[in-house]
Amino acid sequence: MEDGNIAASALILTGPDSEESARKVMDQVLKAGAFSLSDMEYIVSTGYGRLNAPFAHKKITEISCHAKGSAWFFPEVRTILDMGGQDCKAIRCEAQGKVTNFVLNDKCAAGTGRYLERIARLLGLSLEEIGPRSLAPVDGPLPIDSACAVFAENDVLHFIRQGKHVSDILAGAAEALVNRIVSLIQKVGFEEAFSISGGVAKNIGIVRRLESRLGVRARIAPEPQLVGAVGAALLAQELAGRLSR
Amino acid sequence: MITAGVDAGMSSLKAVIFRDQELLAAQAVPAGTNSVQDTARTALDLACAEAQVDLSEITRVCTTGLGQSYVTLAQDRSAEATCLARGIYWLHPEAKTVLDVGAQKSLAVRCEEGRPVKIRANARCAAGSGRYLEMAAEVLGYNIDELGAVSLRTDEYVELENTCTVFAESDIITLVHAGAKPEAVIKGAHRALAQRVYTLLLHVDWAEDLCLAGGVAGNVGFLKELADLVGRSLIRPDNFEFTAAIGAALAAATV
Repeated sequence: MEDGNIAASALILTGPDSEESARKVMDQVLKAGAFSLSDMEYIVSTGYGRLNAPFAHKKITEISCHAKGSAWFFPEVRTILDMGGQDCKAIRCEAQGKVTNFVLNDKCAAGTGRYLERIARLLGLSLEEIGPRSLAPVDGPLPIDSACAVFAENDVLHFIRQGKHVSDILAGAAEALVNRIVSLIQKVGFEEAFSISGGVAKNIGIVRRLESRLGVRARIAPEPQLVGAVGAALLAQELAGRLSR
Repeated sequence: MITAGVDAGMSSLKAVIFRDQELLAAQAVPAGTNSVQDTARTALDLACAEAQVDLSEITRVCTTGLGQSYVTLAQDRSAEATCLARGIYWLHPEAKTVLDVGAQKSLAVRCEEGRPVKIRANARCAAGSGRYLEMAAEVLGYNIDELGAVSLRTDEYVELENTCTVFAESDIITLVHAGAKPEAVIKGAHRALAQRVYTLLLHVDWAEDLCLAGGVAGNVGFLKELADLVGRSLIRPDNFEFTAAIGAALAAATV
């Protein structure tokens, strides 16, 4: 970010070596903005692998960064769902993205985007495809009862062997995941306005179901997977400002 | 009276045949992709051949296990904990506790003379079942049958922090990428599973003799880690993997 605006961004998949991934995405974003590393006054790292970004001056939790980033995109936001492949967070915040409460699931893949990733892989579909298809069931959502992401794959295989419609399987998986997300949001205490960040925000099947369950429209940033990084950059700006004073 | 017991597990179907209190045959067939009913029939046919009895000579068939509702050839059904308690009493009458670790669930049963008195099960999370070790085997390129022996090769272990099987899978990839020894990771996985099933034993106030049942009891690496936690010797009777099926066959005889 430069003077409060996004000057450049980059997004890559994390490989098995998160330090290498951190360097790679940093190289890409510097290149995209025609910057060098020394141009950066202050760098904040966040996220699951934030300890593996050696060039960062400070590491800040993704809770703070997602709240900060979400409030930058949507100043009225009070409840945030941030959901990616590794965890799922429901965050309550005040103005300027000040966090007042949060509930985190990083223990069980069944409550994260990983659940959908695995089901998509099993069905031979891309992540982009599964959202729209889950919204068009033929005979209705199938019950995917297993509360474990591994066992849910058995349920899915069972339905595949029975020749069930893929869209019905996807609708069932989306319903099951949304049930788990809603209970997380209820735990943190839901209040309007509502925003979704992280990779799951790109899944229209999850977004529409959440909106209908919560009875609100979800605010989603143009690139929901960058919200945490934007929050980190905003906090870096504040920290750099404090340094220069 | 000749009876049969069918245990419809996630990875294999077990069939046993009894004449009164005598075990005549015990056969296991991998679950595969055929219907549970067809596979149960295959297992029962094999058991009949081994016992040299005709299917028509079997008075009653009782089924148990996760897939029991699909075994339509059986006249009776019985809960797994009941079958385990009954089966272990036949295999090892001094048993006070039976721990069954299978491909998709684990079950601890405190029992008195063949009856379950306290039960604790995990069937909701793969991390508490054999599925967890299958994941470790797959991701590290080992055959599941050799995994236990690999675990015994080392005293070193790597602590696996994530419980969830899915997350542990990513952790294992990252750990090995960062230079961890596969054997030490495998030992870590066996320890982690043993610790989780040990909590089931604590919940049922386990007492000796402690007996093992289920397919994972065939894994020597798992047995070693569990024995370390329990601090006592574990008993694994002959035909341990047929414990529930034996209990079912004995239940069929009492109807």
